Amino acid sequence: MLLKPFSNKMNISYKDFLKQNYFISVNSKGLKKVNLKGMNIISKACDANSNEIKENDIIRRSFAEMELTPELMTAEEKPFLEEIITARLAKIERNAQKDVSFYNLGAAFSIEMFDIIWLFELRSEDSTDAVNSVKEALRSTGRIELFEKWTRTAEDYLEYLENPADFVLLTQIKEKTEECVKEYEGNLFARFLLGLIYLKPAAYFDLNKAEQSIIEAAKTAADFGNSYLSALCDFLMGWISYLRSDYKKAVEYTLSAIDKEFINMPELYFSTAKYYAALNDPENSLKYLDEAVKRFDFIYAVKADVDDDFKNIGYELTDYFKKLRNDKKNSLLQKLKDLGIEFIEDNNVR
Amino acid sequence: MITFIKSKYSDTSDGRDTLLKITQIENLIRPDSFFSYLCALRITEDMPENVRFSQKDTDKFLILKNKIPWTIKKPYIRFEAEILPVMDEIGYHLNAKKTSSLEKYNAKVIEAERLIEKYAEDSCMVDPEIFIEFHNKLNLLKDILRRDSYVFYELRSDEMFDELNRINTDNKEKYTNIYLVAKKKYEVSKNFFAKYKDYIGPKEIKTLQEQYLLIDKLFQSRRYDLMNKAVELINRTDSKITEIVNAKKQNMIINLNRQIDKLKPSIWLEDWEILKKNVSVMIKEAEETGSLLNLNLDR
Repeated sequence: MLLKPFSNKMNISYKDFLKQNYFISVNSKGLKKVNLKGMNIISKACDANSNEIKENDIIRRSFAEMELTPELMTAEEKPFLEEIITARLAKIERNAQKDVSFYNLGAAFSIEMFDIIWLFELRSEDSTDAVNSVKEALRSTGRIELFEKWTRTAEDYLEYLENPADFVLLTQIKEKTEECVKEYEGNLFARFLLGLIYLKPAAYFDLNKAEQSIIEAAKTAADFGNSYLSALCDFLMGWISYLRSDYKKAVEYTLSAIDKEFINMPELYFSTAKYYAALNDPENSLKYLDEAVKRFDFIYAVKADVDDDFKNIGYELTDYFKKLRNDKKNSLLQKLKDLGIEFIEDNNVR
Repeated sequence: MITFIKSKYSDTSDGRDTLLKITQIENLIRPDSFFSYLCALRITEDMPENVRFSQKDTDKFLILKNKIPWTIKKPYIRFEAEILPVMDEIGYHLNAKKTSSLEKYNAKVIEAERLIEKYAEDSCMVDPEIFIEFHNKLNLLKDILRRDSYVFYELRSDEMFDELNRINTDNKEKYTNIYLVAKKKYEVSKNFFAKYKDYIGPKEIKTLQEQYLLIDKLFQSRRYDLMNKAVELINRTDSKITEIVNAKKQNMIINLNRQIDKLKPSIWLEDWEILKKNVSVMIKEAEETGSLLNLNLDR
């Protein structure tokens, strides 16, 4: 499903929002959203102060239930789009090209999936060099067992993501991750994971601590010259700044990530557009949205249409959708013309 | 005496009505008087005109519709905008048999047939199956254009266009390499036949004409898959003509030589030798060109 992104305009705290939107890793290959019963089980297990979530409390996020700009799409197209999104989330092939990744998910990505996707990506061939650099640093200082400890912790976290109600496991992972950081301060991955643990809607949820861990991870990543993790840190810092309603700072972070030429995460462009929309800056917002739509995934246009922050620039957004439609339509008509098919002028297409 | 083929009018309710009136007319005109004809005339004024629409006429509309079976919908291409009112008019004449004339109906049927044929030739979509497949796919693209939403364009238009493009490209290839080649070969064959027709016997001409009728039928089908069969028949026909012409040529050469030899005692030797030499040149030319025409001394 294509989900409406979290917005500060929503009448709910971010932590409560996360509690309603658990994703679990399925056999370390795919993703699945947890239902109401599962949400309550997880929340109760991971945070004693949690109140029971009721059906009526749940914020509707599925784009299929929302009214969309007609120039963008009509109700009849929703099932087709649903099909595409579902396929992206359910991909189970281990082929690197088809792996669930930030890039392949495109607009289907939602912030609650971040840790699952990151760990999937960390296992991919693309991340081998970055992981090996930490391994090498530990090997050269005779502390290879610390790398193995970290690897086991990451595997445990992936296991936790398959069963997020296992709070004991989460606690053990948190402790082991802290040990990893303490034993080797240069373990950028462990620092980053710690940041993610603080962003889980469990008893450990703490934006300040998450921010601190990610800032430290970013510094270490910069020391290692690891632009991948560095950009991910910027992305999360941008998100945390957004949650604090510091939209300018949020934009700075995502632009910094883009400057690092980290282009395999289309969500970076969408987030930049979102933050500019929150700043009521239609020109820049549409510039980055256009990048996300044309360069990566046209479904980002739909995601923007259901995102509350884009309501700030609603008028301009509708015009943008009209332009997108007209450009695509004219390109089709031109291709047909080249094929020798021309529609006569006095009959409107509508 | 007027004879009605009653079976023509019994298959519809209008037809049955007409049949009743025909029986009335027959009864009225039986006395063969002025007044009986006058009364019969009053009944004919009330006769529906459909007495002139036979099943064969009605079928024409069906055949036409089968040639363009896709739903013609907006946005129209020029052909569709032109054919639609004509088809509507044909349908109107067929439905309003009582007030419409068969002449108008037939004229419109011919007009529609011409439009379809011209469009098929102009667009190179001569094969009916491909013609229909192409327009069915085009209709799917029209649905996208009518929906007119960005997401639908993104979801479907490229795929649909690629399909359309594939059909068009495949067709162009078949049109050029199969249809046009066969058509040209057929024209050459017909010219070949026309050229040597005078040298072929009536029985053989009949056989060849029957072959050409078969080839004509294959061409009328316009189906690419039947063009190979047409080419095969053309080749066979050409071989037959060549065989007949060669046999004819040999006979002519023998006859010519025989005639020249007969002339030897009657003319001066030097003149005979010149004649013999000239005829030999003509025969040689005929051998080289394969043409019989140079051997025709009447030319």
